[in-house]
Amino acid sequence: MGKVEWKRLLWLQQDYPDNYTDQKFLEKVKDYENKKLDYANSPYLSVENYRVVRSDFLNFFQTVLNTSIIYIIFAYIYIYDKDPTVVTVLVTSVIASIVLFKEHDKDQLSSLLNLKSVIIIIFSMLTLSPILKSLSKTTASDSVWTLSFWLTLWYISSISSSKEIKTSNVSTNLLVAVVSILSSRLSTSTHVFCFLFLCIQINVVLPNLLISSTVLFMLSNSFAYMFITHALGWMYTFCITLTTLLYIWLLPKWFIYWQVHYRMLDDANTSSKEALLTSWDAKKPILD
Amino acid sequence: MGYNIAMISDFFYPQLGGVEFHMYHLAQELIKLGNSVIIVVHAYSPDRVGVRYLSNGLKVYYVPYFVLHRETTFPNVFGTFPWVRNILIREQIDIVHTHGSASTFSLEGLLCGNTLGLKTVFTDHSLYGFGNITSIWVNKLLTFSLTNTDKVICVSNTCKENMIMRTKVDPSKMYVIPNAVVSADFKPTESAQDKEIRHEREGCKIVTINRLFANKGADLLTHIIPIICSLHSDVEFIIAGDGPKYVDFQQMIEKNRLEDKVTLLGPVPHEKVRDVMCQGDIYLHASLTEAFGTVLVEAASCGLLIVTTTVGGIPEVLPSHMMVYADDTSVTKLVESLNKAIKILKENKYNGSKVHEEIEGMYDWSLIARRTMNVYTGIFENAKPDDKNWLTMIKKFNERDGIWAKHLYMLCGIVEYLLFLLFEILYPSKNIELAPKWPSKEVVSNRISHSKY
Amino acid sequence: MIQGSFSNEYYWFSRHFITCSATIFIIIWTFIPEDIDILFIKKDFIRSILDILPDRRWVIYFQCFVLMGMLWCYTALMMYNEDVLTPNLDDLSTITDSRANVVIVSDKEKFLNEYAYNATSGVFDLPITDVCKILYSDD
Repeated sequence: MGKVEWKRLLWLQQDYPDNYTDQKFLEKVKDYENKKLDYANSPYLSVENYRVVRSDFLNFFQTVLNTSIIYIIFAYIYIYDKDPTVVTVLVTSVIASIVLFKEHDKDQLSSLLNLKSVIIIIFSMLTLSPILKSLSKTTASDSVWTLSFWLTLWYISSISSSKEIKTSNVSTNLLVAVVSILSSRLSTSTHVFCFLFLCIQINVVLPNLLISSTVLFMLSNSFAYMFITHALGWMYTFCITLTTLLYIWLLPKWFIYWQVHYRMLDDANTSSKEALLTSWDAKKPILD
Repeated sequence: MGYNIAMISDFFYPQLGGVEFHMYHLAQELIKLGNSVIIVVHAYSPDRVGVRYLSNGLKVYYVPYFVLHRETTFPNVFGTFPWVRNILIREQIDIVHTHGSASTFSLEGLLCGNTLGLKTVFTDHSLYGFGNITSIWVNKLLTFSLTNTDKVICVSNTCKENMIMRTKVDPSKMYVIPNAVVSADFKPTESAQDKEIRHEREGCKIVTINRLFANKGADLLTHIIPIICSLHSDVEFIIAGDGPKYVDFQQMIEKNRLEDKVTLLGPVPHEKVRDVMCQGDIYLHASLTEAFGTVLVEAASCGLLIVTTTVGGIPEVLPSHMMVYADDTSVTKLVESLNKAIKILKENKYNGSKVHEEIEGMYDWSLIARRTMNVYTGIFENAKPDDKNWLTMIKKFNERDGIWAKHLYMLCGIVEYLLFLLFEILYPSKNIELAPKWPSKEVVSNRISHSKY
Repeated sequence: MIQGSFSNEYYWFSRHFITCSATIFIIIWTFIPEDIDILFIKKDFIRSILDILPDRRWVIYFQCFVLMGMLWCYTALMMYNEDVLTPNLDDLSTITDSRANVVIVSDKEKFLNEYAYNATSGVFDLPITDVCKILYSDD
């Protein structure tokens, strides 16, 4: 007896019971589950993927390190009362030489280091330094430290890890806020200007010039650890080194574990006919 | 011999929507088939609270409860247990049938019905994705509630597949029973010849009845309407409905000076929907997600040609000679389909009244009710004696995925049983007075004829 | 086969990581003893860290707040529903209301045939007097 094939239509009276399930769908689900549970052959276990993930994690770590260097420089000026002009001149010359060295990379530099805008920014910082110096004259130190702590946390949480051009300025604004708050505690305008200049260079200019450079990473790491050992003692350095190593080694592995075992398999590469879990999302309107 | 059925949901009259009308018409047809149906909803402000009797003896309990947002009550796991238990006992309910996944009453009603040992059925009316936090939450809640439910009814095949992936319920326990329309209420006005003459003389009117939210395609509409009006000078638009995007429509009309081409009707009460539809020739449906789309069947029943996107369950609803599909949710494809539809009408290739007769045979509430009755009888036939045994239900919770989730489920189940025991001690079920059922017509007629003599 | 940027995954993974770390941190913070040396970590070091953080008894208070808060929610909800939202027994809203579409037909036969025993397509309320007559009169 040849039964008519089941059609996926609601208005037909068909010879199938109401709880009949489309066999094609069940096969699709089974394929999906098999592919998902095939942990050993997951594409996320490749070395290539591991490298990509680890470099992304290290980039984030570099940003956090740069943020801690703000505090190191601040402690250098505020607590140890050292003159920052020498350091500023040193660092500026290093960065200027990197810029000149990289002149062949036209499009990367042209948007960032337009000479006119650099001069405008430097002069506006010079003008604002005396104002910033007296910004928190009447505020107690503790509130300044608390404010800068929370702003730093907010800054780190707002750092976006997308590789495309960042469309939002929130992170840069927060950075400037943190630096201004801290600089208001310093004693002379020169100190304020040097602090501002150094921090902006290290946090904004340098990451755009040297993307994922190992030399910079090692340098900033050792600088930070030396300072912490000098200031707080080797116990703290030991703890921080432990957490850093854990972060660099453990977290990428954990992330890849999640990718292999739990990631939804519907990629942008699957067409909408084959996609399973995203086929019921509300579609996006194409306004052309 | 009929069953005593309780339909529990957050959504019912006086709110007007798909779920509400589904519940009402299904309840009426089930009463016609000899069952006794009650409906349990939360009280609607300002003063619809207490017990009401609707036509055909449909009893509705409007339970006072704290409403949180858009007519959904405050979500918790055990809050409705006291009164739902009381209602289910006093009405001697056999089957608890709940509707709607985003409704506290319905999910708690399932848990309560299972604890009391009654048969439970759940009907879902919407599609949920997997990517955002609300969907994940709703799916988790639904997985919890559906672990011990006997049967699940979905309104389309797409909806059923979505449910299978969301809640991992056995597919043989899920039934596909679509919505229906009362086709006598959606008759076309003019005869086919009048329409032909009007098309030659005037041009087409395009109707769209929508809640003007972004996910119902309001953005697409604001882009399509100016383009169509510039391409065809004799086409007019009638837009009914209200929502956050209403202002966008007003701005579009002002910007493109379409005051005499586009009419914004605002919210339209359900009785007037048919009149609005009959003023038009084409129904435009630009929704971005749709489980079934009852409004499409209503529009087709009024004799309109339908232009729609192919999202969700829409391709399953009507035969292709009544529809013009747009392949994706883009402005160009919808404009193309509208042009095609206008051409079909101008060449008089579409017969609206014949379509109305076809719909009468396809989507009829009595058919739906009979299929639902089959589901109910199926539960009783296939029931195992320890289905509603508390230990078996806890074991089923334990078989769910997720270490934290399944222990939380078991904990909730045990607390529900403890609450049951507590209320048995405080308000024993043998002290609960049973409510009188709506007597049959013969009994009442006999009473009247006896009283006359 | 693999997509280029994982920024969405990093975002959610960072939340997962922060939640897990916070949980472990709170557990360690709650239970770490402050009067013995653990391996090479001196008790002075532990005490100095505990000095910076808030007093540990706040953990207990917070857990109690949450538990009692949940209990309060349930009882408050039930009491609110029963005492505030439930109208009195002699209130008119228990019988009819402003949104009811009440059917008033004097002819008994017409009422029975068209409304009491007929599935109307519109939603109509039956008046309470007729309902009581149908349900309770036995003459």
